[in-house]
Amino acid sequence: MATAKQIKPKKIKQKTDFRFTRDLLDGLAKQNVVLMTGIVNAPVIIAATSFKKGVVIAIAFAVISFLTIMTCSFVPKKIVYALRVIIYALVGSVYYIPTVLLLERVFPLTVELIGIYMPLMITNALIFSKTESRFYLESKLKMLIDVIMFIIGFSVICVLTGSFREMICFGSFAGIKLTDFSIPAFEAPFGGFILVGIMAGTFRALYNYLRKRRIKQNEEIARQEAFRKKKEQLIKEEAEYQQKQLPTGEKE
Amino acid sequence: MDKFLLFINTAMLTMFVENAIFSRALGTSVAFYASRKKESIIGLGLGITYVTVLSSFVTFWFDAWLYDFEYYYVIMPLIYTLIAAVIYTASLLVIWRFLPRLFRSIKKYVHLSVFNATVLGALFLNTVYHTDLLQYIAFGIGICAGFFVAVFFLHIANDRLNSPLIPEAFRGMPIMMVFVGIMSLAFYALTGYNTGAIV
Repeated sequence: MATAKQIKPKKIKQKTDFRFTRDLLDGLAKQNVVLMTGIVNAPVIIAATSFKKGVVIAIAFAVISFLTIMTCSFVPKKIVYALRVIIYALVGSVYYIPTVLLLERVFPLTVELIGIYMPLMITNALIFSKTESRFYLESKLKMLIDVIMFIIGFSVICVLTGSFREMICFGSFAGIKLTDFSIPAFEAPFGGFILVGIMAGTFRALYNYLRKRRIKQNEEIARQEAFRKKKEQLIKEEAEYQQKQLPTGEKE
Repeated sequence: MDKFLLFINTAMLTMFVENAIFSRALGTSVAFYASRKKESIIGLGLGITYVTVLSSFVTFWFDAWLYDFEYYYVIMPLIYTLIAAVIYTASLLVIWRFLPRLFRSIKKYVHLSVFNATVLGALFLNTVYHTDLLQYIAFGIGICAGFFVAVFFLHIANDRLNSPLIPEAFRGMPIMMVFVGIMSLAFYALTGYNTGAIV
């Protein structure tokens, strides 16, 4: 008697529905985590007081967030979210260990100066909130690019804030003295809050202006297109009318 | 009596000098979120206080045990996260078992009061500044009281900061940041610092 063999269904390779759309650039501007949504700001406000610190924070944030988000994307969704966050936090703190050891070798003093804001990056909202509301709803490739864009968005603002504050506080950039003008007290937390607040407002104003201008341009293009189509249609109708008129005229 | 006074003193100093939001920016985004509703302030405030105080109590013993280990500062986040996770899971299980209605209403947001910068920040600062158990707990309470006070201030200012008088681009988070900055400056002065402008 022939043994009934179970036939395994062949794995069908699914085509990815990936398309490079504009929303992939959200992390850079529209949903920038520091200036637009403000969900990750403690390290920028308190610790990013110089260009060098800004760079170190950006590197640490990039490594920890990227590795944690990518690893945790394999955590089964069957586990309830209230418990899944524990895994995210633990994975983040595991990745923190090599990251800080590596950074300490390259920037020993800066890492020490950043202090508690370095380990606090394991609880950043990009890992806890954005994963569930955005990243894990996308395909793997799209998620990869999206995460990188969000990290770039944070890093650019972090380095910029650090540079601005160094210039305001010490009149220097990356340790090079530029001017004698300085407000050392701006290194305190209030300086960070006020600067980030003003940067956020200015960035939003600029973003809104550009968006409105783009909408206006699109409307103008659409209006011109509609006008052109209407004109074409009128010409077509006129030609048809003339063609209809011509034989009758010939008969007469 | 001395110990009690020291306890109160530590808690008060933490509340004003080491204020979670105005001096340390710990959990700013959670504070902005909580400041929108009165219920959120109370709920999140209580949740953060509960986890911070319990975690401070547990971390004290771990700190005493592992402080001399050369790489303790590297594994510290992992240990603290584990401690917070155990407290969080145990508390969730108790709530789920005995208060199912409460569990249903908090399960979506309860993680915000555990895995946030306020809780972990308080634990890290505790390790840096304090040496005995009472101060650990007082610091935990002080940080949470400071968070509560800051969120309450934000809640009061919330309506005005979102009014049409504020330019559209600054409405919401940006003006909130500037407001916190000014409050932070006030707290800075309250604790005896000056900006160097007045000699």
